[in-house]
Amino acid sequence: MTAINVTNLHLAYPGGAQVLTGANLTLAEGEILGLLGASGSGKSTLLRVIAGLQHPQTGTIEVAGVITDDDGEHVPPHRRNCTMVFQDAQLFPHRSVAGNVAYGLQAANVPKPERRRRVAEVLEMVDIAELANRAITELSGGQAQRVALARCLVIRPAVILFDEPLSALDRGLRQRLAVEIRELLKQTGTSAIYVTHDPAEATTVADRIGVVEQGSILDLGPVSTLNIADLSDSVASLLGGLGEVTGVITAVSDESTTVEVVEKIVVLPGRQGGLGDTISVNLSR
Amino acid sequence: MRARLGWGAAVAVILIFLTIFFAWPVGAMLIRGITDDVGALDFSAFGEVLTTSRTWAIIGHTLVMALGGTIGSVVFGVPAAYILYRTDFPGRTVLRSITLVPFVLPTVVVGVAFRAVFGVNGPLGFLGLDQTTWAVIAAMIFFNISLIARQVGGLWQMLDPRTVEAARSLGASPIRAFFTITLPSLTPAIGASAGLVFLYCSTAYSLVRTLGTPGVGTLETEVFRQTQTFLDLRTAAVFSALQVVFVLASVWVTQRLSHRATTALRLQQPVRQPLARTDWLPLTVTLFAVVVIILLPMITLVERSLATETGYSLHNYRLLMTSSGSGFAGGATAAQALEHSLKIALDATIICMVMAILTALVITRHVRSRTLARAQRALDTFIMMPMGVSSVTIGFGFLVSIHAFNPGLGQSGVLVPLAQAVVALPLVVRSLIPILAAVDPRQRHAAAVLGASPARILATIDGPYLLRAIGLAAGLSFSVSLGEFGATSFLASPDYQTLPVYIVRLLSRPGADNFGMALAAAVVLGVVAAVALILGERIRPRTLRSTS
Repeated sequence: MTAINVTNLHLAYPGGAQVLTGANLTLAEGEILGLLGASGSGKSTLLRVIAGLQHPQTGTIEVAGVITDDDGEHVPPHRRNCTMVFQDAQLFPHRSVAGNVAYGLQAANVPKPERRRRVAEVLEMVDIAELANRAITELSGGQAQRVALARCLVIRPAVILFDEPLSALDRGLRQRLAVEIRELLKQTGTSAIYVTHDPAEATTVADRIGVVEQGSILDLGPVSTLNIADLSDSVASLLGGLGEVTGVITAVSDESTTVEVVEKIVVLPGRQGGLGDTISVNLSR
Repeated sequence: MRARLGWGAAVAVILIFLTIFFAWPVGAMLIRGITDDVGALDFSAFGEVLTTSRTWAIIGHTLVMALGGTIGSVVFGVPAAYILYRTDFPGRTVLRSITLVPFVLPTVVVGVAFRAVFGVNGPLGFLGLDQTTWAVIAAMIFFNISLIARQVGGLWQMLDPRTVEAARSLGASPIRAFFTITLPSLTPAIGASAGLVFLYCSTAYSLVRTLGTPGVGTLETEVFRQTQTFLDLRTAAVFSALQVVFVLASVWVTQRLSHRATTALRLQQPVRQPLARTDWLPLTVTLFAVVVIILLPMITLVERSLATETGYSLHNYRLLMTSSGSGFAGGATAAQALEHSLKIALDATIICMVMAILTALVITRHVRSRTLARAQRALDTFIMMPMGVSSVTIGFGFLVSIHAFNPGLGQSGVLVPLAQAVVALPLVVRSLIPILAAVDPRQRHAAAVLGASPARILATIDGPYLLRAIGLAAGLSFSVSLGEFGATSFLASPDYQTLPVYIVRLLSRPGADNFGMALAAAVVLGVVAAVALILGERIRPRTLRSTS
C-alpha cells in the first residue's frame, strides 16, 4: 500500500495565480520524502492540500489507501490519516506540554488510562519526559518542536507532513534534530513528507528527494544515489548545499571516524568527535 | 518655577472640583445612611432595609437583569465578533456600521424604541413583553452586542489561524477545535468585556425607567422611589450605598477576571477569511442581532413616531412644538425641553472640557519623581470613579449634599450641568489621554533645546494634538450630557426639564398623544445627539485632518 498518492493536482488562488499545476507524487509506506523548492514554489501549499487545509480544484489525493480528494470531493482534515508539524510548532498556548501531546488522543476519544500511558511513552521517546507539566511559554524553540513532533507521533498517523519545522532554529540544533527526526520516523515506521529550503536538512532526514518547481514535482530519486551532475541548472543551484549530510558517529579512533549517514557509512580520517555525536560531512566533487 | 505653579494650580482646580462635586455628594449620601436625624452614628436603617424581603427581591431582580443582559450580549456578541471581524463578504462593512449605532444613541431613546417594538402596535407586540424584565434585557443586549463584538473581534482577527489548523490536522472536528482552541484563547477578552457589560447593565437606570420599571425595579429605581415618592432620604441612602457596593463588587470581579494569566497568544496582522458555508450558524445569529435587535427598534421608533390613527403624518412632531402632553396642567412643551437640554448640555460641556483638558494634561505629563508618578496614577483612578459609581448615586448625592446645604442652588438649576459634567468627565478624559500620550516626549525636549519656554512647548507641541482631540471630546461630552437621565432625573426642577426627563414623564402618562409625542421626541433627541458626535468628529483643525 502506498502512504500517499497524489495525481494531477491543480490549485489556483482566487486572484488567478496558479500554485499547483498538475503535481504528481507517490510515497511508499515507511518512506521519507524530502521536498525542496524556492519560496513561493508551492511546496507548503502542497502539504496543506494533502492535510485537507486547502482544497485543490482538480486532481486526486489518496492517503493511506483512502481517497481524500477526488475532483471536488474532500474529506475534512480531522478524518485524514495524516497530521502536520508546522513551521513554528503551533503549540496550544493554554495547554501544558502533556496537554498538547494528549490533544489528538482526546479528539479520538482514547480512554484516559491509555492516553496517559501513550503520552508518557512518546514524551520519553522524544526525550522530553521531564517537561511534561511545563507551560508552553517556558519552552525553547527546539523543545517546542519536540513537543510538536510528539503531538503527531502519539496519534500514530500513517503520514506526518513536516512544513519547514526547523527553519527557526540555529544551524547546529537544526542538524541534530534532523537526525533525531529521521530516527524517530524510522523507529515508528511512519511515512513522511519533509518540506524544507535547506538541502542539507533534506538529505539528512529523507530517503528520497523531490523538488517543487513551478507547481509540479520533480523526483530526484533516492538520496544515496543522488547525482548532482544529472540535474538541471536551476535545480542544481537550488541544491547548492546538497553535498553536505549529517549523521551520527558510530565508531571513532585516532585514525578514523565512522559516520552513519542515510543508511550508508562514511569513514573520515582522524578523530572528528565522540561516539554518538552528530556531525555534518561535506561531500564535494 | 512659573510652570510649576501653573501645574500646581491645575491640580488644585481638579481636586477642588472632584471634592465638591463628586467626593462630597457620595460621602454625604453614605453618611445620610449611617446617621440618624440628629447626626449620631446609627446603623439601624441598614438593618431595617436589609431585613426586608422586598430589598432582597430588588437585589435579586437587579442581578437577574444584569446577568440576563450580560449573557445575552455575549451570546449574540461572540458570533458577531467572528462574522464582523474574522470573515469577509460583501456587506460586512454595512453590518459593522449598523452595530456602531448603539454607541451614539442616548439610553432614553433606545428605551423608547423598545417600547415601540414591544408595544401593542409594535412589530413584536404579539409577544406581550412590553414593560417587562425581558424588554429591559433586550434593550441591554442592543447596547452591548457591539461592545462585546468589538473587544472580542479585535483579538479574534489577530489569532493565528494555523493554531486551529494544527488542531484540525490532529483529528479535531471544527466544533471541537473551536471549543478547545479558539474559545480558550478568547476567554480573557470575553471575560473582561462581559464584566464591563455587567457593570453597564447593573447601572442601566434610564433603560429600566424608560421601559416602565418592571417588577420590583432595581436598586437604582428604588433610590428614586424612596426619594421622590416617600421622601425617605435615609432609606434611599441605604439603597444607594448598596448600589455602590454592587458596582464595586462587579468592578472587582472584572479586574480579577481580566488579570488572570493571559496565555501567550500568537498574534499577527489581522486576517480575514471568505465566508464559508460552514459559517451559517454565526452568520444567522449575527444577522438576527443586527436586523432584529438593533435595526428593528430604530426603524420602528421612526415609523411609529410618524403613525397616527388616520395614517402617517407629522402630527406627533407638531405636538412637540405646541403641547405639553395631555393630562399635564400647563408646563413646558417638548421644544422648550429640548431648548433647556441644549443649554444645559452646552454648560455641562464647557465645564467638562475645562476639567477634562486640565486632567488629561496633568496625567500625561512626563514626570521624573516617583512620588509624582504615583500621584498621577492615583488621579487617573480617582477621575474614573464617577464611571463606576452610577449616575443615580451622583444625582442623589448632589441632592443630599449641595442641594441640602443650599436649596437655592438646587432650584436655580445650576446643579444639573455640574452633575452631567461629572458623569461625562471620565469618558471625556479617557478620549483625550491616548492622543496626548501619543506626543513623543523627545519632541518637547527638541523644542526646549531650541529655546521654547514651557508655555510655548505646551502651545506649539501639545496644542495641535489637543486641538485634534478636543472636537471629538466635546462632541462626546455634549452628547452624553444631552442624553443624561440618571442624575438629571433627581435634580431637574419640574419647570426646567431636559428632554430625556420630559420623555420619561410623557411615557408614564396614559394617552396615545403622549406616547406619540414621546416617540417623536426620542427621534429628535437621537438625531441631535448623533449630530453632536458627528460634528465633533468633523470639527478639527484643517492642517491636522489630512495627517490623521
